[in-house]
This record gives sequence, C-alpha cells and structure tokens, in this order.
Amino acid sequence: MNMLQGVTIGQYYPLDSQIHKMDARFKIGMIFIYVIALFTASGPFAYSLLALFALAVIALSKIPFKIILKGLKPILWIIGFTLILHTFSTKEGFIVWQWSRFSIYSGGIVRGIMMGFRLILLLSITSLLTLTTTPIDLTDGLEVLLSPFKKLGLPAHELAMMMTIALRFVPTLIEEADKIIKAQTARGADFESGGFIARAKSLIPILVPLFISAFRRADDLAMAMEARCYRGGENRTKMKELKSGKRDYLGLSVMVLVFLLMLTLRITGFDSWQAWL
Amino acid sequence: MKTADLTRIALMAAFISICSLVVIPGLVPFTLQTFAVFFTFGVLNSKQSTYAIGLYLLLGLVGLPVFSGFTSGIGQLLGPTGGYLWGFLAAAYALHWLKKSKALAGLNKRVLPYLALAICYALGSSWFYLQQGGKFGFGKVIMLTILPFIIPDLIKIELALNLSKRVKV
Repeated sequence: MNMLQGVTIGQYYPLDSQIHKMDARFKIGMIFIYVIALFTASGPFAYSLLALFALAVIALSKIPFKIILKGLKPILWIIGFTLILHTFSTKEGFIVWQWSRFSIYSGGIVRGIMMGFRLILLLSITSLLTLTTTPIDLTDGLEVLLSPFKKLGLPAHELAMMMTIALRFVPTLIEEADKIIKAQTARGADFESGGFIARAKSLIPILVPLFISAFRRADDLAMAMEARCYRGGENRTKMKELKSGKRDYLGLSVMVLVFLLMLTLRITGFDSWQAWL
Repeated sequence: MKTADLTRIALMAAFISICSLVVIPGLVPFTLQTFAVFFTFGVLNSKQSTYAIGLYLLLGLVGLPVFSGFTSGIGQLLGPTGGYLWGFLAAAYALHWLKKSKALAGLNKRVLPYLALAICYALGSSWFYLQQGGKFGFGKVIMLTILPFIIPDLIKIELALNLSKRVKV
C-alpha cells in the first residue's frame, strides 16, 4: 500500500481566493467543459492555450505550485509510459532516429509530448476542484446538478450524500489497511515474497479483518446519522446555500470561449499536429 | 433507501476507488479494480452493487482521480478503455434485472459473476472497436483487450467471491 501514501483524493486546501469563493456548481461545470476541451484539442497551439488557462486558474487559486506537483507524482510513470508508447507507435513525419527494427518518427515525438501533456493537465485541473472546494460544497453542487435526473428515478440527494461519505471512507480504509498489514506482519505474515497465487492468498488476512471492521464502521455511521434524525433528502434544508455571482458567470463564459476556440481549431485543422511536422 | 444501505454503498465505492489506484506497471497493467467490483457483487445485494459502481463512476466523472492511474473525467469514460468502466455498471444492472425478473431462477448462482464478466467484456471490447474507428480488426481487438486479461480476471473473481463469503455480515 506504499504507493497510496501520497494519495490526496478529495483533499481540501483552505485559502481565501477567487477560485475558492466560486460557486461549486459552476466549478464542476467548468471542469466538465475543460476536460471535453482537452479531448478536442488538436495540436500544440491548442495544448499551450489550455496549459496557460490551467496556469492562470492555479495562480488565481493561490494554491502553492508545490502541492499541484506533488499530486502529479503518482502518475509520473504513467506519463512516461504514454510518452514512450506514442513515440514508438506513431509512424508519421520524418525519421529522427533508427536502430535495426526500431525507429522514432518526428510525429511520434510530437504526439507523445501532447499525450503526456494531456494527462498532466487533466490531473492538475481536476485536483484543483477538490483543493479549492469543501466536500460539503462539492456535494451540494452535485446534488443540484444531478437533480434534473430525479425524473428518471435517480436519487440525487442520496447519491450526493453517498459521494461525501465515500470520499471520507477513502483515507479511513487506507489507514485501516496499513494498520492491519503492520499487525499481521508483527504476527509473522509475509506479504513481500512468493508468486502470484501466494500473494493473492496473502490478501485474505488483510481484507477479512479490514471489511469486518469497515462494515461495522459503516453501520455505526448509519446509526449515528439516524440518531441525528437524518431521513433523506425530502424537505432537508441547508445551513449554507450555494450562491452564484458575476465571478461565476465570467469564469464559465471564459471556459466556454476556450472550448469554442478548441472546436474551431479542430474543425479548421489549422492547428492539427500533422501540420506542425 | 435505508441509511445503512447508504453508508455501505459508499464504503464499497471507496474500496473500488482505492483498488483502481493500485496499479502494478507492466505491458498489461494489472489493477485490483476487477477484484474490487466482484468483491462488491459478493458482499452487497444486486441493487446496492449497481449503486456502488454507479457511485464510483460518478466520483470519477466529477473529476476525482479514481480511475486507474489517477485519471478521471468524461474523457476516460469515452476513451478507448471507457467501455469496461461503464460495462461494470451495465453488468451490475443486468444482474439486478435478471434477479428481479427471475429469468435465471433455475440457473446456478455460481455462473452469475462470469456472466457479468462476459457482459463487461462484450461491452468494453465493442466500445474499444468503435472508439478506435475500426482501426483494428475483430481478432486484433480480442487479442488486445481480452486475451491478456481473461486469466488474471478469472483468478480475481474466484478470489473475490471466496473472500466476500468470509466477510458477509
């Protein structure tokens, strides 16, 4: 579980900034559009523009750059892998380097860098959402955005509530698993050696106690909620209502403009990466 | 929905999220995602599992990095391997529907998880085929998306089912 040590899913970084003050509904909407824009982006110019936009938002949020970089650490090898995969598998442009059967084309390098960039931008912009939004605001925002689906029978309030609980359970489960691994190691359990089957079997003494305690925890939480008279979304009021203002409309308009620009670049083919070779 | 269902579904969604992040790098990346999904099938009932998987997808859709390799967003769901993600949801719902309609009343319950895996493979691979715009032929798609995974997946399912029996409360 060592690789999960640095995981900061849903971590909130309290600060007083324009991005922190934004309405959660708008932030979720903007992330959604940004991700689509990222997949519409067609070439180096489009990617640089999206990177600039991301940098501007990070600067506005006042979140130290170090934190964003730390969040990227767990995907470093994935970025490397993407880069290598695309570099070797793309056969466009001119040959830059050749050795027996392997050859690297200029198109491969451009494409590899683009795909790596896409991953970096994707993770940094999405981590910014949870870094600047409290979990409560996040779920309130989601509840509003999911409420149109109520007509289809989707329980919007319950889903939003479950998302908050799930987010809270992630660090709890990791901590608990860590504790159990240490306890079982102290009893002489061996998790490090052996083949695939032996390792799979070594999961048993971790997962069984983990889940017995986790389910107890989940049931305790349910009981505590009911003791505080939680009874679902009907007629439930909120202590803090979400408010949207000029800032939010401005942010969303800029985001939509960026997306439209990406779309135009893609359709006209002006920025297609093949044209840059 | 009872409050206890709410917290249990949330717990399993959190578990699937954690398991999807544990990636052992290699030519065929090995994750515990399939294990977690089938473990969920084992410990929750079919309706709850559908919710748990839906919740997991929703967490990723909003932008929390819970998909394999710390990725997230609609891009992953629409990407080449996205079909396997919503394939899980479709499989869970299909199991729920089959149980409710009693269409499979006479069938051995042991078969159900494998049926779910088949649904998942079918949807995931057809999506991969469509998403790649028919770049790969039918055989090539199976070579790329099913053959390297099927044996580890079957082991994961067996392990998940055996383990879930022990923790069922």
